[in-house]
Amino acid sequence: MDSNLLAVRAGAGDIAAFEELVRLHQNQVFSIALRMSGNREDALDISQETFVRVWRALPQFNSESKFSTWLYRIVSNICTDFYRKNSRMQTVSITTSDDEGEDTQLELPDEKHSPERSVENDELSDALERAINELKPEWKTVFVMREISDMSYSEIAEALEIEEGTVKSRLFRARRQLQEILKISGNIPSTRPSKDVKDGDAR
Amino acid sequence: MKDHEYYMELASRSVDETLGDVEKDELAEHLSVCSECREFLEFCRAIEGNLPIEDAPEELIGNVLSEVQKQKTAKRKRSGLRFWLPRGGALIAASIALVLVARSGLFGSIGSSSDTGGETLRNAESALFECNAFDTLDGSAPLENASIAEQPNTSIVTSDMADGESDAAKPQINAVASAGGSTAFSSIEGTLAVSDDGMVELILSEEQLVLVEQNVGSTVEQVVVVLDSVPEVGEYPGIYSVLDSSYDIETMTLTVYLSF
Repeated sequence: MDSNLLAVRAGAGDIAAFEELVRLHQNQVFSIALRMSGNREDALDISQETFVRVWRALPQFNSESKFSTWLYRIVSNICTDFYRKNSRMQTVSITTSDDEGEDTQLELPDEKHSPERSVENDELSDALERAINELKPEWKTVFVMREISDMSYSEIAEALEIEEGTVKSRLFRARRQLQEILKISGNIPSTRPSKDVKDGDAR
Repeated sequence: MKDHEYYMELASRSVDETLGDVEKDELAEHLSVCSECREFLEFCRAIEGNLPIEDAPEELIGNVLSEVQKQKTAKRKRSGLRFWLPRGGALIAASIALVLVARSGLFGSIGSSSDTGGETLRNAESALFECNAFDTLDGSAPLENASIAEQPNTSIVTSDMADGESDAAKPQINAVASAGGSTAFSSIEGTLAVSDDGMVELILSEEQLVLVEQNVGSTVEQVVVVLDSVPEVGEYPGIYSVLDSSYDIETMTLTVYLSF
């Protein structure tokens, strides 16, 4: 059955419809939460909180909206709350550019002390998962939504209530930052100085 | 001259297949002379699809459903019958008796009873017995014979059960209701509370709420409040016209607004 129809039924108090909704979307919600939080325990908490909040909000769900977009907005909000609550974690700083191109000092989790960090697996996907944890939350959210949920730019924009141009920009910056992080950690080769272009030629 | 960032953003978007033809040509031209941007594009392609969707832990759905069920029950238990009564704070100091008279057959009375605690839904026989414990004010037929459709304004119920020894902090309410003028009375016991917004609420169990739901299909016309003999609230007994009433399906709450 279509998620929107299930959502309408669940909003009217149909528990069976709600259960079906959870079954349909739990893996994606959990995966987003996992990438956003960095560990399974927190991801489970976030996922549970998401679906409980969904249940409470379902009576207000507008069936003309796409359910998954509405759902991912809730996941995103809860992940943001989670990040704020856990912002007391030890951090290291890195300088990067924000959406407007201004240099900003980011506070990033210091993973030297994280039990979640795997030091043995050098596979790209594992390295990528660790690198994602170091992304600025706003960039991370957009990147994870794109990768996990395969959402379009416009759907991400709607879910996060931001402009589509901001989605493009954040996605690009997330990828650029990931490339830098993986270079530093030695998981991908450093960029060779370009011999094809004179200094400043493309700038 | 456009900078690397511009072309790298195009490279990023090309992975998501959101480039127009002009942008594609622009990027291709730049990539032919820029290894740094080529490398970035290769990186974007390499990481695409490298975040697999994980299976949610098995306990997730069970935990969610359990919490939702808990909330649903808690929400409904907090609700029930709500009466807007002036000086509700004083009313809670004593037990009260209420009679609901519905235009199309709803009939219910809520009588005070400090000695019948609990939230038991009684069967029809015992409910009839409870009804017989009341007398109608006008001395007409007892409740089980009262045809609401025929004489909706004469079914006034009094109660002599409550007295000054009632548990003022948590009075017990005995409610009697029937639908359609039938003799299928049921007895409901609940607890009175005054909500934050000044409403007097009768807290009911799940089963009682189902009964309420079945009985509020019609419009409530009148509520009769009969107070016990507690002196400080003795001035309140009377018949009150219903200004308005509403029923919230979600919370199974009947709200009745009375004139005073």
